[in-house]
Amino acid sequence: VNASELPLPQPITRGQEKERADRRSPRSFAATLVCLLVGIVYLVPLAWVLSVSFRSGDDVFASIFVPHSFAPGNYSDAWNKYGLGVLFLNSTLITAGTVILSLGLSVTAAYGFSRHRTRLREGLFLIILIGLMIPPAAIIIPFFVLMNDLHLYDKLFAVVLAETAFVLPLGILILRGYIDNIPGELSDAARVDGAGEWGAFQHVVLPLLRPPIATVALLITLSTWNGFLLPLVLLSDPSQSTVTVGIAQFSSQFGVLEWQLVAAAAVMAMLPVLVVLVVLRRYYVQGLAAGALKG
Amino acid sequence: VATPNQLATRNRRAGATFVAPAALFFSVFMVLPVIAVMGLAFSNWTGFNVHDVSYAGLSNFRALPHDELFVRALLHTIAFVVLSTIALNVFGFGFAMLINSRVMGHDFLRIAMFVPLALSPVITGVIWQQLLGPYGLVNSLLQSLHLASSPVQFLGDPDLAFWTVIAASIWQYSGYNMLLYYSGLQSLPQERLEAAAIDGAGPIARFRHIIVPYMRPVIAVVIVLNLIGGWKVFELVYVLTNGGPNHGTEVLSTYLYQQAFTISANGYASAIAVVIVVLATLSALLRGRIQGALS
Repeated sequence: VNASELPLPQPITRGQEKERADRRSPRSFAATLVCLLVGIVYLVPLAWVLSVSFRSGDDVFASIFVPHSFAPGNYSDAWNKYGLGVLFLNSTLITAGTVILSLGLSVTAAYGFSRHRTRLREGLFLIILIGLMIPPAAIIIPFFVLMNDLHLYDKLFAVVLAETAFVLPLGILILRGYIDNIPGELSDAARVDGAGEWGAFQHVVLPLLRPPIATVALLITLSTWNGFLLPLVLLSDPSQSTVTVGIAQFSSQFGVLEWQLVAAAAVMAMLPVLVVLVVLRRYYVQGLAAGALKG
Repeated sequence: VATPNQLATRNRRAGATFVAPAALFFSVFMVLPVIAVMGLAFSNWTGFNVHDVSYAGLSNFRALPHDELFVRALLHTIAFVVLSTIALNVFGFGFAMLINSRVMGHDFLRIAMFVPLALSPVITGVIWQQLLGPYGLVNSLLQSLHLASSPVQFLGDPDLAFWTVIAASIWQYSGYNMLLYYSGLQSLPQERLEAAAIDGAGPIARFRHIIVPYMRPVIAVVIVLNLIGGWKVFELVYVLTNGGPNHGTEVLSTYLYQQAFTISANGYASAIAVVIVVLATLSALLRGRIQGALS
């Protein structure tokens, strides 16, 4: 038995068997036109930022869409002036830490919830799901106090702990849904063979969980890299914080004065996640469908 | 050979070992803060020194309805949640249907709507602030096309700024609804649609009597997800307008942040947090109602 035989939410692929709409009819011409126009509207803000990020200082607001200047040096200027190196390092460390911690906790918990059901544990599972509804802003005050008491204020690890608390429910939900679909006989057989509970988990179930683990890791990476309120409150100096906190700071400080540099910083900030998301979009869509429709 | 009783005991213990780390973590970093914020809402607490907390009974909650800014923030939040949920579903479902028709250009639209999902709301806020600013792309275009004689105050006028925030959130999140609906539309019963078409049912009749009933559970889940997400709105408003101008875009979370971290009214801010948690939790219970209302 391998993972592909399990009844899982299918990734979105093109329905090859489906008939294509008749492309020559006036109606489908109109529909194509709508697709193109709406698509352009969606892309314009990003295309404009990209265009601004290559303009010289006096051209920023002079050109409308197509730049009259070419200043790729904006990128190194923004990197040096805003100290983006530290920010990128911090964001990377926080994201990596959150992915590792929350995956470790949610994979084991999902297995326990799925394979060892008791009424108490079902209740616990529901409580954890309520975590999906708690906005970070609502509990930021106790978080701030708690991290102070733990002597973690202004430490990256505080942000890792806080972000993990908010992504844990989603990870458990998605992974449990997946483990529920893996036949129990598989791990039972391993246990009878003397592998023990941990062995059955590690050698039988865990290898089958690669696709949903990729999905959860991707969702956590996106939400942590893009996170804002938790690092804003738990780290003291915005200009030494994470990429998002730093850019919000530079934008309010220099947004109008040197928009070309802020734009270059924004492009650099979004590029890593954009690339990751486009490359791994299948996993993203799977996670959305599985997580959303089961919840 | 183990008896059923022994198996059950072993089952309980094994399950507890797997679930315990996540349960412990969740208790400290989610359950505890939620309980704390509920307790603090009944306290008089300014500053962040825990020794200054004193019991205040219901006074914070009694003060809320008399606080003009709180009432405005509450009304803005409700309007934001309702309007953005409606718009996200109309656009999300509509464009999912368009993409599902597979006319030429559908892939372009799908990717264009997908891209903003990778962005942090902070980056969206930074971009839209300049895009719609007095010298931004939109005002340059409006003026060069002689549609406006002076820059439109998209962010300077309190009423207009509110609609700008809604537009930005639609731009960012409609791809999410589109993906979920598109994923649901993949499994539409094609035979029934074809049979209905042969029986002379027009596109509107097929939409009302086949597609909507079939998609009902998906629609209910997506609406609930949008509602829960809507109550969480913070970053976008904080960066785009910071609740202004003149509190025209103040929402509960930005007002809470201001009360807590600008004037350190932490007891009062906790009461606002309780209001947010209650609203988010109530909307999660609406799923059955929504599903019923659609039939």
